[in-house]
Amino acid sequence: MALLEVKDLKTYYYTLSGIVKAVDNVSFSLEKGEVLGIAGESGCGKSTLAWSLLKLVPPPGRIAGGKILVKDNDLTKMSDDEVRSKIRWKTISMIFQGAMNSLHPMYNVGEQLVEALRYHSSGEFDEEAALNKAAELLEDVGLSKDMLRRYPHELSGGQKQRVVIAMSLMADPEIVIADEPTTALDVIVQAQILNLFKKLRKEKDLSMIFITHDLSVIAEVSDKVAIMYAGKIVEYGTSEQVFLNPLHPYTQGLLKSIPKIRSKEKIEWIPGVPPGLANPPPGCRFHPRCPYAMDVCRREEPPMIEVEPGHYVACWLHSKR
Amino acid sequence: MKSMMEWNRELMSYTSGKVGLALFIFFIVMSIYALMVMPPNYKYAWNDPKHWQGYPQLAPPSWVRMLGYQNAAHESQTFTAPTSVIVRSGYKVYTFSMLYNLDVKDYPQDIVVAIQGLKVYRMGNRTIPVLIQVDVRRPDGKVLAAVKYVEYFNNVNGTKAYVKLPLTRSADRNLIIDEVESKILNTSNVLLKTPIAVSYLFSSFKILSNNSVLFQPLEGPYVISLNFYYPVNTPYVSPVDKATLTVVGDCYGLMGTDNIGRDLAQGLLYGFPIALAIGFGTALASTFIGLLVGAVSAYYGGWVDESLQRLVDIIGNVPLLPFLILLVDITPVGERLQMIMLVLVIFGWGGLAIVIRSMGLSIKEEPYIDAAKAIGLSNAKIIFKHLIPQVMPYVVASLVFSVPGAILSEAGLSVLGLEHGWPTWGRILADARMAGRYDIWWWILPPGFLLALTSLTFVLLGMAIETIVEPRLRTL
Amino acid sequence: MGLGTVLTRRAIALTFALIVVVLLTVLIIGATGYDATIWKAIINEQVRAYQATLVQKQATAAQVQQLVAQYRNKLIHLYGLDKPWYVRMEPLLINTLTFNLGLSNSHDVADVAGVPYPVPVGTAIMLCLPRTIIMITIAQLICAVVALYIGPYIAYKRGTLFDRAIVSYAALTNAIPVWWLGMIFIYFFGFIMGWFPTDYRAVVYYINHFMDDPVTSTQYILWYASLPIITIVIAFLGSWLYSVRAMVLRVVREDYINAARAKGLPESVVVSKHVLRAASPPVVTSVILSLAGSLGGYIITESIFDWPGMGTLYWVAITSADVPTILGLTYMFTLIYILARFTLEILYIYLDPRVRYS
Ligand SMILES: Nc1ncnc2c1ncn2[C@@H]1O[C@H](COP(=O)(O)OP(=O)(O)OP(=O)(O)O)[C@@H](O)[C@H]1O
Ligand code: SF4
Ligand SMILES: [Mg+2]
Repeated sequence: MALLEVKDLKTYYYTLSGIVKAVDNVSFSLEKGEVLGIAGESGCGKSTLAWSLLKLVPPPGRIAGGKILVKDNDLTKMSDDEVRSKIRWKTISMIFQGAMNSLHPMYNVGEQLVEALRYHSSGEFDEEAALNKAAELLEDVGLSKDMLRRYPHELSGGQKQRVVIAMSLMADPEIVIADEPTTALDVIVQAQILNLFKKLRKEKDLSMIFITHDLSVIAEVSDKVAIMYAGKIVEYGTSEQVFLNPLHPYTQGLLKSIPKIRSKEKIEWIPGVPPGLANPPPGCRFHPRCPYAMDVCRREEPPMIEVEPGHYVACWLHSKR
Repeated sequence: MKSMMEWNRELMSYTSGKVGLALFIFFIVMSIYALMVMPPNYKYAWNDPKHWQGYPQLAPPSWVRMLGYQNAAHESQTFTAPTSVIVRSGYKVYTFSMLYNLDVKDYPQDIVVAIQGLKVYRMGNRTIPVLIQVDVRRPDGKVLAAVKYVEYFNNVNGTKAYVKLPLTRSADRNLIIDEVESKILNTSNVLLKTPIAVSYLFSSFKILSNNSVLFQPLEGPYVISLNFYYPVNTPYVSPVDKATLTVVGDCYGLMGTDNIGRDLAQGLLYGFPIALAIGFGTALASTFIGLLVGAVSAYYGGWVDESLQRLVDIIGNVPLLPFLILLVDITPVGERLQMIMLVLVIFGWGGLAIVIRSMGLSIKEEPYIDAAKAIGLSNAKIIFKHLIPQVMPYVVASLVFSVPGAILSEAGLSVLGLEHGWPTWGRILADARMAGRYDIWWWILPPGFLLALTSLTFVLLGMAIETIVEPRLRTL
Repeated sequence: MGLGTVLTRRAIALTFALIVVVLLTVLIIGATGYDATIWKAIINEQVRAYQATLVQKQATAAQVQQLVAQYRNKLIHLYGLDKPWYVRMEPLLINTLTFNLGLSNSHDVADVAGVPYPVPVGTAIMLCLPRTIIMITIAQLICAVVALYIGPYIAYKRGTLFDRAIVSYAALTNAIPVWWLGMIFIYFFGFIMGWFPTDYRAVVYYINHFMDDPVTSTQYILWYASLPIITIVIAFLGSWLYSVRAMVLRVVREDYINAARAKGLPESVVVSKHVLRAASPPVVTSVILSLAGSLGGYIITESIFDWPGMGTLYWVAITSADVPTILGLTYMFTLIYILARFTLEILYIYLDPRVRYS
């Protein structure tokens, strides 16, 4: 039994100008202690996927189909109140994209950390114990406990990010989703935060979903990798499989675009832009940008094929017709 | 920068924008129409009771008759030649006659003749007086006189043998009572008390035992004739240039009339260009000042900024309406409208200046401003070429929002009792209030509706523009 | 800069603005010759009365002329008309600023206050203020409370039929002038239906004699105040709802609100602890400023209802050219507003840590 299993998840935004299929038939699973990296260009639906896992897709978005199984309980079938009290923060917590803005400007750090616990502990934490726990976690993420009394505007970007990470751990969740936790930070702080994640993961045996558009970050932390393109997962496998043997043309393009220090190779970027998700191209969604595009690609959607154990790809180059 | 076409297209993509734009065009069209049809000295005509003599007073719009209301129709006919000329008992009688059909249980308010260019008959050095008489032939066959009047030409000199000034005469109360007593009731021993004796011309009567008289409208066709009695050998084809016979009904025009007979449709129509002028004049001036002060304050900083900020602080703390009232009160009536605008401009630019200043402060940090400075562009050029265009969309929205302010202030001040002489919607409402006639719906409702419509127009327009300018508001 | 310094600086700036506004009023009254005209009229009146008494005493024509001229000069000197206006205005300015508002010289002002002539300006204001509070401040308070309760709810129902209805209502009532609505209501609900009074001046009696019979007085006052309050609430509630809704909407889509939800807080807590808290500075600002603004009375609306409050007092002072009352009221209006602004500065410190520590 996987800790988290997502099957054929569809999350759509029902806008005035049409249905935006931000997450379309996405499946993956996550075991205890595992880190899954999800990578893809901006706008491909990564954040929407993350919000779906908490059943908090912002309107006009809605989960339109599929299953989210947390220890075999289907989230999509749970009542809102059940999700709120059993899943959110207690089982799955999240580090938001733009952590800078995910702290309330009018409460101090302590209040915000403690609050995460208040509605999830059945009385085993009084206010003081909660504060102690908050202080401990702050130390875990490398901040002094003086921070408890500080207000968000008095913190630097990196400090805020650490506070948000500490906040995500307050209710001892089993899964932490980190949505681009390092994008807004400078390189040095980025490295510190990544190390922090590695450390926490080891200490607390956390499962994590690590979302980013930066493949080099994923390479450092994840066991498994899912590559998303235009609302779909196009390649999925262990880090070794995906990084050493990328099969999907999009994955290959992404990997080539990572700048390597001391490399003479020219940096390449995939020409073109991702399609709008309201009206994606028929067939393989990548075909307008794909150097290998064939006739069938324009007509039919490629199925997800397991090319080697645990390594899946959705591309006509790899499936026999 | 967006082109006009793009702006227009975006504006049209919002319902509020569509409605606002349609209403705005309506206001513009009405204003242009009003400016084209209204005589230049209309302001004085509006305030002159004589100008409104041939109009019914407090009459509802004539379309209420179609709703089944019992209001006597208003009819008016203008002649340039007589309907008939006959010689009777030593006179040459020129007659102008019109038919009037009383089809409801109601009385007309008056019969009025207006005569222009009455000709003078001379015999040697003497001018001969003319008898002017209006007769009413009733459905029952009786003929009653309503106006009887002898025009003596005492002061006619010079070569032109006619009276230049228009003559206007209403039905004569005493005459009518005499006529009724002698020709219909055959007695003068009754009590005929009503001050509106014209009613009798259109009544049937019943004498009660206590000598009081019961009368009620007599429906049917009436012939109203205007007769001029001249000597038999008068050579004229027509004794007048123009004669107008009016049966002043109990309803009038599209919008009715007020208590001195003013045609409200005219007043309301003339209100359009005045309202737009007040609104736009004030809004443009105060927006311009706000923009300029805000930009200068942000760009220069230092003591310029500091003192401008103090100034904004002070005008922001001025109790605006009391100040406005005081200043308008001490202004001569003829200049009050301008005073209202002036005061609203002087105290109305602060809010915009604050916003523009804070926007300007962030724009100032942009690298291209430094670049512009580096290549030696003058300060004024930088402000006008780089700073102001950036904030322009916001300024346009703010301008549109601020248009109704002055219009409503003017209306409020008028209603309060501060006269300014112009026929505005506020003034019409003020007249109704002074007359204490809240019950005259066609007097109270339309000006209020138009005022509300004005605000609505610019609020809708402003909201649409704001949404275009600030996409974050889009789903608000 | 410490907090104390900031507040002190604000206080000084606001006091400066207050003084300038009063100075400006004095300037308008003095420099335009407004007060001179009034004084001349008063002097003429007194001289005529004096002349009449002289004639009664059968003084000779020459004597009368001489005495009258003397008397006139005495009065001109007494009222300071022989001095330039700024000299004449100086004590007026100082007295006003030190709350020495003086005596009203208008019968109409005494009439609005509901006390015998002559009435001290301070007394007139203290008599009229409660009446304005009863009518306008209470109406605004009702609007504020209702808007604070259902504004956030409407924000949550964004896009629904209910939300659209409220927004349309707001756009519509925002466009309609209150005083016009008042005219219509007085006619319809007062004259036609007879549900409400048509003459509101009479409320003076019940307010000024409140202590004689508090129960009956309260009933009567409520009966008089109800239509004005209803009118104002109908006219302003839309704007209130719309602006609270907008303030909440601006906050609802902030990341930290979603974060609160993700933390598993119940929606009611998200609204009360997070959304409203974040929206509180603008909400508090509009509540305080509109309540402060209401204390000055709505001159036109009060005039339509012939309601003897601050607004009517001011209008009557204008029509009877009563300089002390005009000055006193302008001072009060400005003072109230400035105090409200200063209160806000202090409240922000409690509401927003960003202000507290910067
Ligand atoms: N509220 C919304 N209404 C309509 N469409 C939306 C909404 N929010 C997101 N989308 C669309 O859904 C798609 C996925 O958005 P999402 O935020 O999940 O992307 P992302 O992969 O997280 O991008 P990024 O890397 O920039 O954060 C985008 O194409 C976006 O335009
Ligand atoms: S399916 Fe075709 S178009 Fe899509 S990635 Fe594979 S080769 Fe390219
Ligand atoms: Mg994202």
